[in-house]
Amino acid sequence: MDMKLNNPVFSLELKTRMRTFKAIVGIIIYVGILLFVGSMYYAVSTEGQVYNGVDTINANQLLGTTLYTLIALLQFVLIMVITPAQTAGSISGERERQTLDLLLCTKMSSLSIVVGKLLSSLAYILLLIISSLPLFSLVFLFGGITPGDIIALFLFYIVIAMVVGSISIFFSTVFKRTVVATVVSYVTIFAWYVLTFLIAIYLVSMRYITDPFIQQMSVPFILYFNPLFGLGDIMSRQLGTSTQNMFRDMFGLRMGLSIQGTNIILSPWVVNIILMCIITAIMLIISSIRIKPVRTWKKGNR
Amino acid sequence: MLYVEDLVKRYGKFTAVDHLNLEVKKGEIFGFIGPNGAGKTTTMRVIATLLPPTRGTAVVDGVDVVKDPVKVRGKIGYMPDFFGVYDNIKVGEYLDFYGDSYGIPRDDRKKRSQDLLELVHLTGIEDKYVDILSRGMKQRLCLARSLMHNPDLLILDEPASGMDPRARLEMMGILKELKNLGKTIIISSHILHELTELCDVVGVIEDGKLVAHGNVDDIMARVMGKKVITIKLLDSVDRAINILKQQPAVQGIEKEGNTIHMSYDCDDDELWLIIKALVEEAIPVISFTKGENNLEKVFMEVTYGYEAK
Ligand SMILES: Nc1ncnc2c1ncn2[C@@H]1O[C@H](COP(=O)(O)OP(=O)(O)O)[C@@H](O)[C@H]1O
Ligand SMILES: [Mg+2]
Repeated sequence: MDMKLNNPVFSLELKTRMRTFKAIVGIIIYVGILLFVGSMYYAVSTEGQVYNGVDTINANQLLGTTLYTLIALLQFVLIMVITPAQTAGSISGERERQTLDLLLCTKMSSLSIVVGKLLSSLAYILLLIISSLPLFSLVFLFGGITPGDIIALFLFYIVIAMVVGSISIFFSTVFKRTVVATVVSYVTIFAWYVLTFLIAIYLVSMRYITDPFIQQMSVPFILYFNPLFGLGDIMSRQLGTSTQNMFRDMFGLRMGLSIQGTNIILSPWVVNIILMCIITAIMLIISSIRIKPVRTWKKGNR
Repeated sequence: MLYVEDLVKRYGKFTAVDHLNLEVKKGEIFGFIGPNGAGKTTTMRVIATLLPPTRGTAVVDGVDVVKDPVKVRGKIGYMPDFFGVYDNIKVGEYLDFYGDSYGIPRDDRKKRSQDLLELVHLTGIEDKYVDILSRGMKQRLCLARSLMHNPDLLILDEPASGMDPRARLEMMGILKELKNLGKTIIISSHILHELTELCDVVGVIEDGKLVAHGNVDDIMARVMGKKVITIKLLDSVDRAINILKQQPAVQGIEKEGNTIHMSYDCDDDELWLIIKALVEEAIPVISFTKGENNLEKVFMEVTYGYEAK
């Protein structure tokens, strides 16, 4: 068996990417934005606190959790914006630079080329996320959030970056020009968020129309495809029972997916992550087939 | 070493390569000549497993490019007509990356890079960034790159195009060294005389068809040979031949019934005088046909490097 953990494209990309001035500036800007928004919020809310004179421990905790929510959401948005920019040029960039043919006629499989591209982008995004860690640890000072919460959140970020990255790589194989691939990736990802949400609302309202007294309706399955739903689930859990109940009341629906024949119920965020992993795998496989110059069939088919 | 069997490549309705057959023997240098748009790049990309053929196939060292492209990739080194390099990468890293992509162990890659840089006259530039190199240097680096996995067959698509004469000479010198190392090489050009010194065998391609194929000397003799005109007469063939023999530009005459094939070496202004002489002597000429067969047109283009389209 040929166990090859070494991926040449990954090593190369990592080397050439991290070497650039752009990469370092990117990290500085990234942390800068989080720090700026966080400290602005902190300044504004502590100012009010002095006059209100409420119980400081509770107020501090509230400040901590809202600050956490704010930074966590902001980071989510930043990752959504950065990932397509990092990945949509993976293949189209090779075409534009006229290096794709050289790569394709090596012994690397097209799947490992695509995977190497994705992993190197994820590595950079992981670096961004890690560099935001000091900021997140400040939230601990206020109490209410545990390191476990942050690990779960960061894991979710990586999965999100992975699926968005794989979709962008797919468009990078479709369009010859990186600019086009990038724009189409942004539009598609935005549409994905909005459409799954709208369709879910539509399905729920149709159910209510047909049966106004329906009890314990479950969340339409399509909503599990929406990363915002998974993020909402994770964060509402972390912020305590009251927020979690709020999140559930907002939809007024039964959440989680029970596995047939067992009494295991998968939480929305777990289902969400599983679905995103499946989408990633499909996107990578399609991309690798798309760049494969000569498609071979197994013996007997030809 | 290489067989191209009945290769057809169509882009939509357009046929770029039309039932092409080729054989290149081990250790041979094959010159693939044809004007721009003739189908050289298309053919080479099929051999390099980068383009699926519409029909037919190519077999490299017993391995079919369609059935087992991955295995073929280990046997060939391909240098495209146009290629780019990555940004922010040093020469040493560049070669190391491609070596890695071909599955060469790390320890061997460093030694191999150094040897190849020496071969292509780029010794000691491992730490230079690739994107600052001159075009000629990049081209030689790309040649070194295509040799990283020590392939038996090299496919070089116009490796000397766009180079100044000195760089071209240097490239040809390197290719000769490769020939001495026993590599089999298929090299394309749209200029015949660029390859005559290097190649053992040449094939001339036009409109996707192989119009001539053979030993360099034979092909050269045909190319350097004269222009041909065919003259048809009612009678008086011998009298006509006598008149033609007196013309200095006429080089050879062949008689075939009432038809004369004449080879000559002059411009049309002078050719006209030759024809005039025949008519003035009341030779019953019924037709003149300039020997403008396809082959000659191709040769003109390839010999003098005219751009066809
Ligand atoms: N991807 C393509 N789609 C359509 N036509 C193509 C494509 N690639 C090449 N051709 C056409 O095929 C012909 C042969 O091209 P090519 O093999 O590049 O010729 P050469 O290398 O001899 O100059 C040309 O007429 C070219 O326009
Ligand atoms: Mg060409």
